[in-house]
Amino acid sequence: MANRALDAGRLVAYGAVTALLYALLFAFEDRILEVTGKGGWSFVIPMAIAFTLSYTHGTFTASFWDFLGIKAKR
Amino acid sequence: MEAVGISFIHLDAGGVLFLLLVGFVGGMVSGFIGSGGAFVLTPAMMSMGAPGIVAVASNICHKFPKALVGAMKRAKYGQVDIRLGIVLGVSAEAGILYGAHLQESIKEAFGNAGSNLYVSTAFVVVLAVVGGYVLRDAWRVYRAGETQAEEKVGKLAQRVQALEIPGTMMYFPSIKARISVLVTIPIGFATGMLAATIAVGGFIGVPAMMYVLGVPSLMASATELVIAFIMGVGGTIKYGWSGYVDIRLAMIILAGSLFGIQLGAIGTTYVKPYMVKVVMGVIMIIVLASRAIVIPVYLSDLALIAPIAADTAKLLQSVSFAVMLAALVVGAAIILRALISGMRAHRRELALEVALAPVVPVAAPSHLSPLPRMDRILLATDGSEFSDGATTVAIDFAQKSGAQLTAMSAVLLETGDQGTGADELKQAEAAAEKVLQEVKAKATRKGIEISTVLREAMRPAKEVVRLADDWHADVIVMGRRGKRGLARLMVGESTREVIGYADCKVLVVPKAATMWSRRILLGTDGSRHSEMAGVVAGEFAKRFGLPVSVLAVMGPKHDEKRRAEGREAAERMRAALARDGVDAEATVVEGDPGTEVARFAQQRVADLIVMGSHGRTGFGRLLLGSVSEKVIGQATCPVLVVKA
Repeated sequence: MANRALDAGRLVAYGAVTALLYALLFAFEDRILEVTGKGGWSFVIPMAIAFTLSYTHGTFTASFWDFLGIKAKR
Repeated sequence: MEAVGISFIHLDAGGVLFLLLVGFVGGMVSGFIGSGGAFVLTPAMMSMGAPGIVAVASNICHKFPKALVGAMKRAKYGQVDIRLGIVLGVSAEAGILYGAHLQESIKEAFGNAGSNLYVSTAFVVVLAVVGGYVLRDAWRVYRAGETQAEEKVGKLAQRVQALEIPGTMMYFPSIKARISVLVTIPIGFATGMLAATIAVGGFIGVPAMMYVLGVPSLMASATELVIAFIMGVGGTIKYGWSGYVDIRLAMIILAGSLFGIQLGAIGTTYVKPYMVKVVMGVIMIIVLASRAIVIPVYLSDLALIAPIAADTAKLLQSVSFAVMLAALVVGAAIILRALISGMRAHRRELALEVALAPVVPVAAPSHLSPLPRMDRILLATDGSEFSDGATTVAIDFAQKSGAQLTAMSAVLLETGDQGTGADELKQAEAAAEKVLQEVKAKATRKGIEISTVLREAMRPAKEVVRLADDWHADVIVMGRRGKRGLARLMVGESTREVIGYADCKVLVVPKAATMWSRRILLGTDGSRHSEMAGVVAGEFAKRFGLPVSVLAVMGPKHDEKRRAEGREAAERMRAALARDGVDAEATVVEGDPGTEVARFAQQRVADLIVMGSHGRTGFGRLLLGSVSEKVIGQATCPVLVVKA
């Protein structure tokens, strides 16, 4: 039971962080596109965003299926 | 750097939802077959008004984080050959650059229609040849009723694996063999070229890994994710440098695809390996149809056939896109179906196990049968100080059990450009022969008859396993590398390889260890491997008249249910041993399993540890499993690894 609560907490935490990051991305979309559209070293911005979201959202999606009981066969 | 001034599209809710959905389905396919989920996304974004180059750039930018998450997930299941992925990925980068360059040249010479015709022709030819072959192979496996059987290495792969080009050979865990990188380079290059042309390099990469290199299909599809990650990073830098990446589009697709890729990766753990071929073949053939539909339009644009009316051309393109979407949906449906039926079957198996399990802990894992044989002991020695303990124990073991004993040593053949010189070889052979003679003298002093075998090998571990197979050895006895500190915690590569490849039991002996005479410690986690280890521990206990301590270790992450299972497993094993007349006790402790088993052995003065191994091979640390590896690394007494 305690474990399930822990899983739920992890799911909510990573979900919240991911949602916040997406909200920030779209809140500042014009500014971000303006900078990344210039090219050159600004390519690190989309890379950094992609890496960050792959971590938070990746963990969230893994926890999501786990929480629903869809787990890999051991 | 000049600003490119690309206009990025306005996103509405419908468009976002569409991309999320396509991303999810595409992610599921990628998670399962390693690739193939992205080709719909570029036209999908273009249909929303994104310029072609932005669609391509944003697609690539979503691919690399997706592939990263997928590769990490499947690496957890032991399906990824990272080394092969990196080697292929690097040559794939070269293929991408060349493919993009070729594409630009064609566009310059023949315009958009020429470029489109080239892409569609590449689609049709590659998909027809490769897709047809993959699907035919899957059908053959199904018809032959071999869906449950282990995958066979094809003739082409056997020839490739037998190819020996000095100075270019590299060992790949997924195929358990050395392959010349001269073979992997064209495969990687072709994968990259196809990725630059049709956005799905995996349609070449995965079948080539399976049929040319002999990589098992589940591992090939998982390793493709590493290649996709490397290609994705390169592509994102290239397009990002020119300012073409619309990060919003990329991240929306990523949002959907990460749900999908997790599901696809989970799916691979429930299906038979041939399902990878089924899904890949079906998708390839449907996509082939989709591209074939539009070829007349491009031929007409190039005036190679009679002109096609604009409305007809538009209709053909819409139908083509719909068929492409259908390919993805059909692929995803097959995966979901396989996942659901696999999960149901697994639940039924678990329910059956629970139903058959004894209600009270006194009933036990059968009658500890089949009885493990201990008639033939193979001692592998390299003559170093690390083999001292193994030699002593092997001789004592043979003396007390009455088993036949063979000692082997191998002369290491160098694989560099120069190879091993004749003089060096002679010297090495003389040294190894001397080692064997010393072992023989030691055995003879104890009245043990012993045969000796000297082999030449590039990989001594493989030679040990081969001899063990040929001689039908029941147990291989060998030393453990590593001196102190961190190195002590690591099991030597050869020891790890022998345990991975051998079909028989492997006894790993620290250099200062001696024959067991006090107590056997049996590590258990309630698995099938542990049960087999229990059978062997029981046989040893009876044969040597020793008590057994059954130990289950519970980690902090284990919940109450798992703890109860652990306690029950230990108790069941104890009861089974007791019924066989063995003095047994069961203990459950908290902590890190690797450390606790070794510590408990010291506390209880156990001088033989017996534990099961999943018996998998390859994959670096996963070869043994971290628990077995830690126990072997930290134990001060011999550790007997029992394969289920």
